[in-house]
Amino acid sequence: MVSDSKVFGFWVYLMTDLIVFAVLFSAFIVLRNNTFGGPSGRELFSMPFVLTETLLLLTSTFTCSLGMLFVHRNQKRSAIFWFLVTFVCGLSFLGMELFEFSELVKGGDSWQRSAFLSSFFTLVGTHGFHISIGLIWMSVAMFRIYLCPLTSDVISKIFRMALFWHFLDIVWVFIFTVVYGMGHIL
Amino acid sequence: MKKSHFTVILLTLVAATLGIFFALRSEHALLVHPKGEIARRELHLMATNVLLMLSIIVPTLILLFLVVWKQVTKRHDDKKGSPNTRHPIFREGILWIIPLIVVLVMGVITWFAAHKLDPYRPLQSKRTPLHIQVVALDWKWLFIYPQQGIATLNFIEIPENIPVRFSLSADGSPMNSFWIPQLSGQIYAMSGMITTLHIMANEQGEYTGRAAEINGAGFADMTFAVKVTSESDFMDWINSVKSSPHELTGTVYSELIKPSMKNQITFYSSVKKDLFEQMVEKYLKPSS
Amino acid sequence: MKKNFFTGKLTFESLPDHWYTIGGTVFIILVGLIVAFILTKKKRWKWLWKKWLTSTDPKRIGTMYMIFAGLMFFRGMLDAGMIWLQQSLAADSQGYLSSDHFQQIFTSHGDIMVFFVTMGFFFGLMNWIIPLQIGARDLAFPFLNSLGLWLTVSGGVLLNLFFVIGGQFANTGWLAITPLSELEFNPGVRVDYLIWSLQLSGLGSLLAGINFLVTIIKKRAPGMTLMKMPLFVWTSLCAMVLIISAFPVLTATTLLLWLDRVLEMHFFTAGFGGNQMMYINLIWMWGHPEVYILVLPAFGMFSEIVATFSKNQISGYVSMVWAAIMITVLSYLVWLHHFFTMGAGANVNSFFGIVTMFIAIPSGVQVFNWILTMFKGRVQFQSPMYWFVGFLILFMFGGMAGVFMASPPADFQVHNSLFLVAHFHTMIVGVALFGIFAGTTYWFPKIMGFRLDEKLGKRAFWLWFVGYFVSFIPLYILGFMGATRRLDHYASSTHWQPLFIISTIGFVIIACGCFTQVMQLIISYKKRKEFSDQTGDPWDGRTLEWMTTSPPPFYNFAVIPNVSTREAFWEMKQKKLPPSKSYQEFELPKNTGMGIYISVFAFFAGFALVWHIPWLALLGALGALTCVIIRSFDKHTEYMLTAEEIERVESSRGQG
Repeated sequence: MVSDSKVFGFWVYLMTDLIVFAVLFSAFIVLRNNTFGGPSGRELFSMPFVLTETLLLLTSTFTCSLGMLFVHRNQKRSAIFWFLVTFVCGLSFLGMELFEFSELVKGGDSWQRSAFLSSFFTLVGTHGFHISIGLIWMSVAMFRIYLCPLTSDVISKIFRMALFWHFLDIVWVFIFTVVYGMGHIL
Repeated sequence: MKKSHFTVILLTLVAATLGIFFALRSEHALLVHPKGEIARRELHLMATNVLLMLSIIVPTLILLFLVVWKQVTKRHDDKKGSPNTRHPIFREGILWIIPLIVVLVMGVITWFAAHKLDPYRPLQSKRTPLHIQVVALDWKWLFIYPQQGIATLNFIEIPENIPVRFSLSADGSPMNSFWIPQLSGQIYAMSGMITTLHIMANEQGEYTGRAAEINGAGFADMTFAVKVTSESDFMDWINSVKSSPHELTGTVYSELIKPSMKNQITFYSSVKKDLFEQMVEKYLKPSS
Repeated sequence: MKKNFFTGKLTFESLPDHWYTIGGTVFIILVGLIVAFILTKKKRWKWLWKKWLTSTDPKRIGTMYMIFAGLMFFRGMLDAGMIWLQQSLAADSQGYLSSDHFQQIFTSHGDIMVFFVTMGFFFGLMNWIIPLQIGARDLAFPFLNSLGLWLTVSGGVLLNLFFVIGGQFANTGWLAITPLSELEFNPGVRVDYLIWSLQLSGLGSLLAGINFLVTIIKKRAPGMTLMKMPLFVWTSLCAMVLIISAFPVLTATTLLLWLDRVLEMHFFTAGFGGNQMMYINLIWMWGHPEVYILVLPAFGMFSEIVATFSKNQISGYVSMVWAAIMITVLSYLVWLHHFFTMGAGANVNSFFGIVTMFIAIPSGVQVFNWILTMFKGRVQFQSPMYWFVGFLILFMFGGMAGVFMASPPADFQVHNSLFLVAHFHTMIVGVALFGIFAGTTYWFPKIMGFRLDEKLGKRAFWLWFVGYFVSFIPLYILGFMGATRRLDHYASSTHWQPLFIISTIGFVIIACGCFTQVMQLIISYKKRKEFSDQTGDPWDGRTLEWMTTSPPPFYNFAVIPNVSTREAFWEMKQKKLPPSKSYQEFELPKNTGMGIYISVFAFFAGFALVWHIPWLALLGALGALTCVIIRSFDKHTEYMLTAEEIERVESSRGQG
């Protein structure tokens, strides 16, 4: 089946994206103490803030699954509704992240301050960039649900978008643990 | 394939082998004519490894030539070749085991040699090592003798049969590699970090050291002279440097860091205190 | 560098003003004009667009990859000649090139040869042969195939664009080692040209890797289990696994370097906590798998060739498969051997050194099996077999040099010397290039419908084989004479000059070999009726690609064959099975220009990122994204080929 190959191919692509993140994670871990006299994670990160971001993403992954469920049931309106909720969660997450970044920059702790901050901004920022792509993809998907009959090909396309979204959530769990969790505790 | 073609291939290989053999006999084949303890032991290791590898490669090459020769000379009467319908695991096993054994032997040798010849490992000697701090700059080498309180540019003099410990770093220059082929293998010199190389020269003479990692436009000129002398001559040289008019003050050093090529050999009779350590530190912490 | 909002770092000084940039620009414009003139005169623009550029047929895409790789090969060889000439002249003198220019030349030589020539030739041959060998009509993702090709081409165009705009290429060596490639030591845009041309072509390679992987896993003919695949497919599969796992590392690492340069981050800077050693580690974590990506397909090709021309099954098929897998796995565990001298200490160095030596085991097994295949067979020494014998010799020789360097203390002496340069060129020339030459000769009749002239092929082999030795043996010796690589001049007291001169003579011999190959193409084309392949099976082949006509119909197989044994076609011939005549309709992908459009947008985005022009970068990115979205709504990407049409094509080819 054509769709079968496409989903398999997409999984392969996701693995390559995971390796990109793996490089960013390893760079972060190597550089996490290279603050060059500047602030470390413990001084910069606010756990309540990050927990809120995490809850937003976790919620969004749940609502995304709901959207996919309704796509399979051919219930367009419910599907679009739940993807819209997912979109709002994602957008809020992005907004919070941009706020966190701008606060850091205003305080003089931009990516230029130290290797640690460079790796922080890049890792979290790359994830945020992927979220942005995911939001654009989600908008296209909602439009597609609205416009097109839900054939197996169309469902496969939306499924891949959902996979992408779930993948980003998993990456976030690692970011939460390695960047904020470890940075705060250790 | 004609027999003449086969012969050409054979002759090419023979010519190459002979060419290598005769070229390496020349005194200019620096790696094969070591003047230092480490280089000598590295050469010995290289020779051992080559012989071990040749123990498989030569028979394999002979096998290849025999097979090709047989195919070139035999008459092809029948239409089909004999198919390999039997794949005895025994034969396949042998094919795997032969290289495995040689690799295992080489692996064991590698483990011990890598530890014995680790640049960080001090040499066995009753004498205290001479300490030289090396700073790779764009595009010259600065050498500080902390025990003697002198410094030199693009030149070192060391006594024979006394171990030398180099502490290497770089300043204002990207990744560098410090290499005196006749005395030992190379080691990188990088800013914000200190690497170590232990050597000992066995023969008096004048040798060349060079930069072995590309670092910009002045790369090819970044060579330095190495003079190995007797211990008494070395002491005399130290004293003569101590009466040099040049001094390695902070100001002089800040001029030195600026990029320049083909710098003259210079001797400094005194060195700013902790110059080397401060130079490394400044990459790790912002200067207050 | 000052930045303008509309033009970024571009100024009038970016236009050509040196003899080589003016020369390069003139050459590019001239070639462009000549091509445009010919196309206009013969009224072939539409044909070019419809039949070639927008094609999703892997055979067409494969041919375009080969042509592109051939052009880049010419450029890379020009670089090589300039290097040789400089080093022959520059004893106690500056030669004819400045230090900086010389450094740009070997940098571009390396990037071109690795990313565009070898990868290009291999993707070209794989596009042609893999679907045929597994009994498929196309790759799993035909559109991605086209996109991959055009992204690679746009990367190649971007790399060469510096001749016209910018005037300088990176001087850092092909991998842009930090901190030399950082802003502190390289404030201009030339390193960014390197970064973005690699990013574009890297993305193309990654997409091709995913494509071939899924194709081989999912699209094999019924009955062709993994252990019944031809060895070329097996080694290509291993290479694809390496591509999908290694290329993302290249993407991420060069991205970090670019962020250091464009946003003044501190991943690899000297200072501010940057870690220059981390770049070396990361780039070689990509770099080492990459060199196995370059040689694994060649191993597979040679396995096919030796089996066919020895009229014998490949000896030890199962061992050969496991050898390829073992090489693939081990290639992830050896990256540090590229920088033993960085001072990681004896424990770390020994580990990586010993694991590197372990790669000699599967390599040795392969060599033994290749020889055994010949031993039990009845060998016809056509020119592919000449390349094969040359390959065996060079592989053993170069491999020995590699294991030599795998011992850290030995490496301390020869690292970054011409010994190293000679070793990796032995592998790339002796394995990858000889493989490409052999494979191209072997499959040429299938691709073009006529054979290549054998006499000229053998002559080319001799020139390459002897030329290789005359060029590279002096380099091995020079390494032992303390000659560091990448030196633009040296003292005559080193006594290196005579060897450089001999080496240059070797280059001239090789260049004659290349010239012979070009002549071979031209003369074979002229004599194509005489050399034509009427049967589709000129070498008495053993694998499925020989089942089709030469060249195959655009759909490869009218009926997908059923496979039951390892050498499917050989089996069919022995059993004299008649081809199936019951045709059923099937779908084929339509042509599309989207691959080109996306790549053009990506090219402009890359260009804008090099020159710091945010609005153009955004435009390029949005344009590419829009094309992707539009494409995703295209419901008519395939068309149905009816049974009658198939019948018509088959009978016109004498198959019906």
